[in-house]
Amino acid sequence: MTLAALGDDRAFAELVRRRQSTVRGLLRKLCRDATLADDLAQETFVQAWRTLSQLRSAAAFGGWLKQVAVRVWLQHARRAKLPLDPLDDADDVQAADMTGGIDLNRALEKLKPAQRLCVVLSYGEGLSHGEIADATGWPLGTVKSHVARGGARLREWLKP
Amino acid sequence: MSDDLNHLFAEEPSPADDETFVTRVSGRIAWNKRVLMVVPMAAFAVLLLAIWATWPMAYQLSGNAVAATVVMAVSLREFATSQIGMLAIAVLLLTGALWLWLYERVRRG
Repeated sequence: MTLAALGDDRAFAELVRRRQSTVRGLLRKLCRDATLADDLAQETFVQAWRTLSQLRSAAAFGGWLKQVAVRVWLQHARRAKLPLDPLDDADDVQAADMTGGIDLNRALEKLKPAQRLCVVLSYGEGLSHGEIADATGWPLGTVKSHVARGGARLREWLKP
Repeated sequence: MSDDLNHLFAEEPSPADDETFVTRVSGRIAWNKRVLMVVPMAAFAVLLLAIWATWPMAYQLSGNAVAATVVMAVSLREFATSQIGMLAIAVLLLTGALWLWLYERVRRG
């Protein structure tokens, strides 16, 4: 970690080697397209390389890297004009079409992007509501609402 | 209540480690480093080129700029040493001191 922060390319490559699975896994749950997810994962590591000197403690690297990945995904979502209004928590019409027997990835695709992000970070990555609010910059109440509603929808859609 | 979803997420397989991914990230970082090095050098080269291409004008412009700075400094010094200049500076300093004193009084209530 220290060597990588000092600009050692081989040390940073080792960090990429060890953490790639986590970052790619997180972004694949957020994106529908695995190629796009891998591209965003590469961008995550490039942004991490640029800002590594800002990291205070080596122990916090894992959580910090997830925050960078979330920031990269949010940048992509804004560029792609995905509906990302964190206050828009209304039910959508697609919910009525969903019945049992679908897998987790397909169910995640059907969630609204903001809800999907909160659900993946909460249930998939084990982040607390406060940590999600920090990573996304959204109000804590909105995050709690997204996690609760998104979780309820997933349970409904995934029940056998 | 959330255990069922945690369990579902935990069952999802993570992508396998891929050396190509590491190579691609290293490549992008190397490209970023090159850009960070080349851009300032290119900007400097363009500046030199612009100076060379517009030499008589650039020479005159830089000469005028230096001369104008010197004239401004001399004028300021003369103003500061004149009677009206000293009076203006004294008024300015007194106003500043009064403002600071009042500000502190208001701040302390």
